[in-house]
Amino acid sequence: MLAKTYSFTLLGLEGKIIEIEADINSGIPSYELVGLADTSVRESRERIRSALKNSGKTFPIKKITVNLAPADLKKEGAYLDLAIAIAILKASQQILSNENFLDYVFLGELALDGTLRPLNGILPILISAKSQGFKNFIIPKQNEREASFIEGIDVYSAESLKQVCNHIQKIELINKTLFNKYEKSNKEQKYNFDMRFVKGQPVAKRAIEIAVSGGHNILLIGPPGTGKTMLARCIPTIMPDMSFDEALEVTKIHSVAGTLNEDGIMRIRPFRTPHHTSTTVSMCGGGNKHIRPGEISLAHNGVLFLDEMPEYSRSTLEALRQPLEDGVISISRANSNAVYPANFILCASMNPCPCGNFGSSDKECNCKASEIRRYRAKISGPLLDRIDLQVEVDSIKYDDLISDESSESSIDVKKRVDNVRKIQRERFINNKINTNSDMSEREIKEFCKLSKESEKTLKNAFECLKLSARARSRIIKVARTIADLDFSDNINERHILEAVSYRSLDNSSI
Amino acid sequence: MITYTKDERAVIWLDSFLGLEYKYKVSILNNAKQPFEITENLPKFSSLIINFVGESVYNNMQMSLNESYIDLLIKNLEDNNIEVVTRYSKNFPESLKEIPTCPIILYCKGNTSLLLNENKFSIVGSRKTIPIAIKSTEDIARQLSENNFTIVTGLAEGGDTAAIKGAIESGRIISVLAYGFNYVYPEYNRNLLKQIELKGLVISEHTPETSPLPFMFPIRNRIIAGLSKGTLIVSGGVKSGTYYTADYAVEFNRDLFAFPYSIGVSSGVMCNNFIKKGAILTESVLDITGHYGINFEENNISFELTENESKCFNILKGNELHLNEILKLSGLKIFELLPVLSNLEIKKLILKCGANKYTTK
Repeated sequence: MLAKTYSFTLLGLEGKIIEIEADINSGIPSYELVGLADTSVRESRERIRSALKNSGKTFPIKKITVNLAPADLKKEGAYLDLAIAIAILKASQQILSNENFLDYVFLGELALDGTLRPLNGILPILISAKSQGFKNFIIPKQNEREASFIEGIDVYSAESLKQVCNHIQKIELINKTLFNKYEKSNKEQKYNFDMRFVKGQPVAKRAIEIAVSGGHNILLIGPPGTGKTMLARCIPTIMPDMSFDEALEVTKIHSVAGTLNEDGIMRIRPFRTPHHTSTTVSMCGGGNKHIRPGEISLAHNGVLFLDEMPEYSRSTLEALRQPLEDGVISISRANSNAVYPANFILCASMNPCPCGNFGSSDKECNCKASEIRRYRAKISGPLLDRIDLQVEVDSIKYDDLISDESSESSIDVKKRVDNVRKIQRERFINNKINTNSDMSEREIKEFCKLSKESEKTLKNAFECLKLSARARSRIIKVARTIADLDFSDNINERHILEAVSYRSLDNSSI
Repeated sequence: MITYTKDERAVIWLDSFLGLEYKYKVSILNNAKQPFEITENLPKFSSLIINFVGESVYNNMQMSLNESYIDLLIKNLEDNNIEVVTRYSKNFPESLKEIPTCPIILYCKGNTSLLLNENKFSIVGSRKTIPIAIKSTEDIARQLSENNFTIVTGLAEGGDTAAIKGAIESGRIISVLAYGFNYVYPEYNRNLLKQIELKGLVISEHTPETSPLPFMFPIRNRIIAGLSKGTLIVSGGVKSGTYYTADYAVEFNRDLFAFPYSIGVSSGVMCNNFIKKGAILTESVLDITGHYGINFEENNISFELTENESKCFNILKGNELHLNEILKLSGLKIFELLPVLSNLEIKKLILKCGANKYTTK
């Protein structure tokens, strides 16, 4: 007898429907799996055999043919275990049910004892399946939380194969998973860092506020031990809350990568800190068979922090250029290709010179000018152009360190950031972008009109400070954010002037 | 093709032998009544030359002693746009003849008429020069060169480069190389060197094939000091090559000027040492023009400053202050202060010194 079930597999962030046909004929007992199955799918046979036996069913001793369609798509992973098992049970008439299984999508990996193991990437699969018209899903229990955030579908989470069989035969129904409305993280986040504890550094703090408000990239330059890393660690504490759409996008990526926590959804913007030994592939994403998202995609809608930027390999840094511009990365391999979103704030830190003391007031720098140039040249001009805010962080005096004079706390700063983000959302409501930094030339023309005086100031600044021409639109975008922080509709001279002051590497003595 | 006199041709020929060191060439020239005597009557000097460098070099010299070889030498130089000025040329600077180790030949690229400018003034500094000194050097070089001074310097980074950048606009700049024209050191200044060749003058006492070696730089400095009637030392640590230039200037009885530095600035220790020994303390171009009795008029451009701007400018006047201190003293918020400082910087009234420090010019 022939039986058919549906399941899904992943291609990048897209779920691809797989039709599973099982046919059981009399003949020499054999098990034939056709349809470009990868090793992990082929191995499913042994898992299914044991799982059936341990669930009180039998693995039919007949000629079994299982076909996975479409035949030209390479199938990977253990997504299909449950669907194949159900197809075999139905074909061997061990499940007697009038219900048409074609309403259901079966997802799950089988353990030998018949329990269902969780899968990575349930969320993107459900979203794709929902858009293709599927309504009923059977998924492993551990993925329940993640699936509960999607409205308008019926999700049944099962612990074992036996439970699934009982459910589809209507012997014992599984309760529908309740829809969970997404709420912004309501419990107070506990952070070890707070802007309040950063002593001194008024420019750096202001720059970080601007960067987070407008989604601008930022580079902190300073001698060792001046708190660059601490400043960067404060960024998550002032990041604005995510909307549901943003959270869903982030969760999709983390679901595929398998880095989702038990909450089931990402409520906090990611803050990724890959070490400088990271390879280009780990940074951008890739892999031989299954293309995994890289650090830049995992940092989507959040922050990618590169500590000691010149220590990263040149090729890794250069690979960031295109995603920084486009907000997505498209990874191509011989077997497949995938597009992952990668819209992140790049926060980087570096020393001003190899020994770290250049410009320091109390320590002498022993580096030759050529050495300093070589060190700085590790960050190429085009990459530097994409970093809107370059701030010098300087050594703190001992007195400042122990002073009780505490500055604004992260919560106060976050309120302002939230406000500015709201202004931007309203501004770009018809433009498919979220932040000022995402503006293209056309949008800059539309939203960043400069008065004659501002234009003149900008021109003067370029001539006097010898800025690179490519920096112009970057400066205007930052000025837009500064004006938003000032609740000003127009970009005034003072906003331009402040934006200009954050180009310290362009305008440096070396 | 430039026509050189017999004497000049003899010197060019003599200088083409790399085996002969400077002191031997000078000695041979001193033994001749006129330089062309050497080419006319080489056997007369045979014992001298063989004594100095051995027979093989002498034989080599004898073999290549013919007019067509000298023509070829001159043509090769001309193909590379190199003009030659020898100690016996009319346009050899008088000031250089006064020094005991006067070079016998100068290979020149660019405007050789600059050599005859009476008002040559050298500005030299170490490779490590702090931003404020760089800025002042540029300003002084510009102002002096606009007032008919010709600036003489090297090609190193830091102080030398700043002097070149200041003077290049007016074209009154002489850069003295310590090696032949086939080389560029530091590589970083290749473009700057091209600009000087176009607008000013580059000179070297070495044949184009001479590669740069460390010991040649201090020796070169005698030409910088010797050419000029005064030398300004803009920076220099304890072990800076700038020391040689200053020392030569004193030895040749020229005026020595130096920037003052505050306590603890390592890149200025030598300047202060020379001031202690009697160098003229120099804060602005007026100290130099005043010394030479030249009427220098500063064209003061007055800006209209806003209230905050003049407040910050006055706080900064004469001080190097950290941003935190300016914040405290002015009572402004950070987002109010940054535009003000930016604007003052654009108006060229203040200067960023790195590490969030500012100062007035």
